[in-house]
Amino acid sequence: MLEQGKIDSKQAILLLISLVLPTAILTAPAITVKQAAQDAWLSIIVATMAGLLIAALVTGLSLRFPGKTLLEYAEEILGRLPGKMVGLLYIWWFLHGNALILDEYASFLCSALMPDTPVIVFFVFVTVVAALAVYSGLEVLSRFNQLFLPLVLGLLLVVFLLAAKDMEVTRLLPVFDKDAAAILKGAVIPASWFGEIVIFALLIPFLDRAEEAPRVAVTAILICGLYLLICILVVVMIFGPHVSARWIFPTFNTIRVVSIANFLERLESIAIAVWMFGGFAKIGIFYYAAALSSAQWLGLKDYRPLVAPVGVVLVALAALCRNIVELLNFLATAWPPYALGLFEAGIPLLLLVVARARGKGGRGA
Amino acid sequence: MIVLLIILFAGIILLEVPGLVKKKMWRELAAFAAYLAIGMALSIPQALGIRLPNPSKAIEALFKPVAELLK
Amino acid sequence: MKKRIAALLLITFVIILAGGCWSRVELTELAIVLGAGVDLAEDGRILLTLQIARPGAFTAGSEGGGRGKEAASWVISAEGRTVPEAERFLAMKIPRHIYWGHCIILVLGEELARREGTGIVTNFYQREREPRENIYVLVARGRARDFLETYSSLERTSAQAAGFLERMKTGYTVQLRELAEMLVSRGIQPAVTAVEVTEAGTMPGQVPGGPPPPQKEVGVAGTAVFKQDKLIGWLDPWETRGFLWLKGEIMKGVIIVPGPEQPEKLVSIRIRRGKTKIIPEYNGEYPRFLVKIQVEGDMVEQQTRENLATPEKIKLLEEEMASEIKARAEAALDKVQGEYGVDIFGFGEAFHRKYKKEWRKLKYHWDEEFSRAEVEIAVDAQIREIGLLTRRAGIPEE
Repeated sequence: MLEQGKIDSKQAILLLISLVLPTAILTAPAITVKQAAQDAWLSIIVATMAGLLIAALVTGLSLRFPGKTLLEYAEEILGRLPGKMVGLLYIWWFLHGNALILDEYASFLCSALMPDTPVIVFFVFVTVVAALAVYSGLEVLSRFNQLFLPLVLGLLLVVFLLAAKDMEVTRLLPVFDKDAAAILKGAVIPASWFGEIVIFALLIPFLDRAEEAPRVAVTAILICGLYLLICILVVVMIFGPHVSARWIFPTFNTIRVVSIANFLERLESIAIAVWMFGGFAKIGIFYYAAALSSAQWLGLKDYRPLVAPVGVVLVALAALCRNIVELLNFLATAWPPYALGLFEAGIPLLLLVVARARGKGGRGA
Repeated sequence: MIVLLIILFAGIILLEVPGLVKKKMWRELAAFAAYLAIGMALSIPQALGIRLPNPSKAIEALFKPVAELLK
Repeated sequence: MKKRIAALLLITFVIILAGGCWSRVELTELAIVLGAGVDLAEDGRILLTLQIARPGAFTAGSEGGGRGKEAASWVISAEGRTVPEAERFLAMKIPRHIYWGHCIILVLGEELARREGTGIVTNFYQREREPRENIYVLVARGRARDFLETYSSLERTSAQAAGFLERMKTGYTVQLRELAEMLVSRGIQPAVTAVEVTEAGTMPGQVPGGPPPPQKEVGVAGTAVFKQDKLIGWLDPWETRGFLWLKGEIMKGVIIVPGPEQPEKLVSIRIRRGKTKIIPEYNGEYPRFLVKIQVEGDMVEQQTRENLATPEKIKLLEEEMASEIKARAEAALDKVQGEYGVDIFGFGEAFHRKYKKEWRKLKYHWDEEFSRAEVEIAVDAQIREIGLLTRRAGIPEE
């Protein structure tokens, strides 16, 4: 076994929230509102349902192969060579996806907070911290996350409540102004964020009660969906659909708007703390996934020797992104088919279909 | 920049390699070396100011037909 | 395990906190901008004026001091082709980092708003990370620079005075984010507070022996009306009240109505609260709007001699109050709809909410549709309290 630690269901739920939410809240609202205008919240509901389907798919698949991760059962289902190919694709996705997250994280900090700091510094700092967490193992990462995430989620909710003064429900009207196609298009982006829960397929063997995996994944998606829904509603109720769609980080702007009685204002340090920890946790989980799956793919006894070099690759990949426009364009257009179509729904679905056809795996065949 | 990078690589090697050699984890050492080589290949040219192609561009091109639908 | 988590925590904290040191600027290295004004210079370039706080004058020592003490602000301007260019020229004269984070107001000069529009100014303030979304946007009648150079008797600087006037909602208050929203929406045209430098009050005892000179102060002067991003006209303070009734924006102030029996004597009613609802209708040819205004008020003064504390008289007063409000609203509507032909009320937004399909066609020429639209105003007024007095005192018993 590569990983000795065990995590309980509650830790797993929190870990999955950290896996999805931090960047989803940061950039997804603007892209979704761009497509679906004030109906963006409907898109989020559709996306949450898609997320639930993916969660069911991934956990269902994993439970057929108890004790095995995605990479291991892919080989069992598809055979050695195709299985290895799929594994390699996933490793690439974990690395590349994480590089994009690093880019988002650094762009945000750079444009919102510290314009003088070279992005490379953000890359290196957060990667070093994440590397330490990954090196310490899944259990440390989860416990760290368990300490902070509730605080982060709570603060975010409080800030949204404080913004209530500037909200107007009329900005959400008329409902269904956009056609179903636009709402679906708007749902694709958040769905591809929810779909990142596919990484759970690597962690299920380390749950102390693996049979609770479906419940864990569903709860996590529901919480993420709820938060993203609140976030979109708040953003649109404050800025209206047109302005919301034009910001890059609308949630951040929303928090800056909060001003109560001339003294309770300038709360963006809370937002920044939220994303510092959230982004770090998210990067840590993707990082862990990359290191662990690489080790499994190569049949190593330990993933830890890989942690440092994986970090180097991550930073180097992240540094390839030239500017935020490239990143946003990629996230808005190529990311959904790439992530959602291939890694989050496509391959798991293929695996399930083949497993059923070949009668592989235990339960529910 | 490049000096810092070399120091970083040296640090990583010093940190990991002796342990792996002592425990005779050759397979792990090979994987470590392979990853580090990829990391070097990606980072050293960048540190020298050479622009490498961004793989995101290739992915973008690959998914362009589908991505068009989302515009 | 515990040790590892603790170590991780510590490292995260240190890295996060130390990361902030990179762009660290100490308070004493900041030039805090309180207000910014943008004018059009003679050669068509942009004249950026900043009102910068002088922190020394903000300390307790100068509290309560009038003129003659240290000035609390420093006003400086520079020209440039763009706002950032002008800002950089200013940076050559300002020995500290220009910090926008506390900027309260953004004043646009009349010339600039009329000829160039808001677009060349506001973009910078939205894109930059320091200025906030809730800066108040004002249009100066005259030059923005003169406005910022004005002194305030009560507040420390004119920017703060204008900020407080805005916060109290004395006019049609617009924040940068709201202006942005009005600029992008097809269902509403922008309107912004108009401000001017006026002579307001005196400070007695300032000149020994002589009469006190009038003070130059900043004040709200109605509303600036825009078509897309260009200024096309003004509403005076009286019309602005009517405009606010139609917007359902602020419900403050006093309504003066003639007494039921003695129309030459007046009764004052203070508005308590109100609500405005716009109900659009569409028959396929032209849109119609019914504006329902509901208002509650308290009687605060009567000049008349009659006993107003009877249900019948109150009813009459309520009717008078309703027609007064209606007259105000109609005056604003006539001017905006008839003269300017732009929808600053958001009728288009209301129409969009109800007729989303029809809106898709109408939105491209909404201003013309709006100029043709029939608007009916219905006011429902209610008097709640009459203060601490029933009949007027000072009249002998009959």
